[in-house]
Amino acid sequence: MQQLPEAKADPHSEPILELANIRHSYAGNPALRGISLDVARGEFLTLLGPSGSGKSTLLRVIAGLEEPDSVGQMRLDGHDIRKLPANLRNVSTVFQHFALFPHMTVGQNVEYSLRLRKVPQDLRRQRAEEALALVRLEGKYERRIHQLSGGERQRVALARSLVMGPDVLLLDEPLGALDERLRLDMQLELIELRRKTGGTFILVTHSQEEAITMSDRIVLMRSGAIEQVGTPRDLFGSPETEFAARFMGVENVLRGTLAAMSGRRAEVRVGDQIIVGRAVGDVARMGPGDAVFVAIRAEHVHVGAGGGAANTLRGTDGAPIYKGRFSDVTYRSAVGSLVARLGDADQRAPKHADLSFSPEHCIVGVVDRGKLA
Amino acid sequence: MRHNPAGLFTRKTVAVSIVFGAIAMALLYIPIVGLALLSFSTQPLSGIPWPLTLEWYASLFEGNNAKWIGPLGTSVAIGLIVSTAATSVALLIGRALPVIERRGGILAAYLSVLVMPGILVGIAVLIFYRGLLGIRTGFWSVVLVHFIWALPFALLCILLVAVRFDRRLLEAAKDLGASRYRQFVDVELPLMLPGISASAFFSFLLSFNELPRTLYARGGVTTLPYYIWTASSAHSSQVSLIYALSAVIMLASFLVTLLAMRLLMRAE
Repeated sequence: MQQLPEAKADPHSEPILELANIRHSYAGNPALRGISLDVARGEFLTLLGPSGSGKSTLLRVIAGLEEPDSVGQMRLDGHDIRKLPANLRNVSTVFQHFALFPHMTVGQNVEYSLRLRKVPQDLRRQRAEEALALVRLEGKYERRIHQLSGGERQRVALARSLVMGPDVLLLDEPLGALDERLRLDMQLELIELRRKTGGTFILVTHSQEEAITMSDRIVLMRSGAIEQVGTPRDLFGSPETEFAARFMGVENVLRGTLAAMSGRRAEVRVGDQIIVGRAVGDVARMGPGDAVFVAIRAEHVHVGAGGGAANTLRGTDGAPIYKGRFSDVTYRSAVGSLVARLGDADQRAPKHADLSFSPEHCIVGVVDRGKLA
Repeated sequence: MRHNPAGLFTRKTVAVSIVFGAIAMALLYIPIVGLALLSFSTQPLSGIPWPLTLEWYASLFEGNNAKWIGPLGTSVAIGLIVSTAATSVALLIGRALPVIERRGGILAAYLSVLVMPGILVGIAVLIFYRGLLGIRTGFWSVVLVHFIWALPFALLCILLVAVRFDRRLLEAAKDLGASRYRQFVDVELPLMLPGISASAFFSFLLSFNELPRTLYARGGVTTLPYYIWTASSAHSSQVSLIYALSAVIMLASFLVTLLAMRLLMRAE
């Protein structure tokens, strides 16, 4: 079991959601391999991972839409919900495909959960209008669903889930169906919405950028298991496994063997080069001779002589790719290809150059945690 | 035709198809319109509509002439039972079929009854259900053969809406707190309603107008089509009335069909 970093939001109270040892499989293929996780009250938690990592399955298990093969513990607001069907759990899901009822108006959609809970009609209407105002859809109460744009439908789905005051709001890739511009707006709006409602949000996404922007804490998943848990800063700055480093978008990931360790300072042999870096993760378990990965972000690779950094390699045959705000130059080096980022996209990249990076920005971790069955 | 010419559909062939379409339409409706016209004729059996009269319609309810009211009641009762039963069963099957793997064969098995000759089905049912199972012919055996007759049509109506139904909506309803019953009543039923009502109307009409199967299964029961059939072939005094009666039934059937079609189309 992995050490969970303390959540930012209200760490002193009981967790709103406690999960222990959840296992699930589809037709013999394991989808969740013993997931344990606590979610703090008021936290914005993101389940991040590639497709097939089990993140959506975990969300469906929490919602009660999927019955797991076995579950050690599942407590919502202190109550055991292992045997509670989805319709009796006080959680609500916003689906990627929205799943709005096409035969009902916007108002009827939003009010549906209140109608089921036998809230009187005038109160229902009042709360629906409030929820619609919260997602900036004032005055759309009487509209039909097919009259709405994609972004508006997304907001109706949000309002419909929020109106019932769920203990946890589950967001299943809710921005996946929206176009780029709208997605960025909705990200900010979700952050704002969480701030206004003070609710606990669990978001499923495959976008590391989305996860970093919105979350208090990120749970990175891989093949049905938790790969790493941490704040966006942890995940972005100190990915603990090769998979995490690659998934968090580190451009340069190399493999080598550990040559020497002192404290957090690690010396790694890559090819016939020694690279000095900062060890992350389970350092105690690392010893000379272990297979490790080395990860350096392109923006931390300095092009040109100097800086006196500990790691300097000769880069040849630089091939620049223009990216608008910057350009990435791929060099050949003694340790394989290395990508360096030029902050000024219009700067001419030298064909051959010295490439240097500091040990602080060079992450060293175990290739395989040996957790996967 | 707004469409651009493509494949076989050039301007000329489109004109040809319009002509043939019109001929087909005429073939379908001339006898029906003719029969309706004759029902206003003073001498329907002559085949000449003139001179016109409302005499037959007026006498439909007079004394001995009103004998068709009994069979009408029987047919309506059977039709209502068949319609309810076929639609309910079709709803059960129709909800399940879209989620079954390899449903093609099952669907074909349900629907191929459509093309079996009615008389054969009637005889077969008579032999097997009465001969082997010992079911007595009469009201309920007519209900049974009509049910067999109507079910494939009912199933088609339900499937039209069932295959388009997004089952993820049920999950959303469940997530919001709906029990199985509320999921069905609040989400599934309203979205499938056009197919359900079309199925109910069609099943009723199929039963109401059915004759060949009824001939074998009826025992002593007289349905309206059976009454009309015997009355019109018996050269009795009733014959002239039959035209009027048939015209009324045709008009009613036509209106019900129109309604059912509109309901189905609205589901689009």
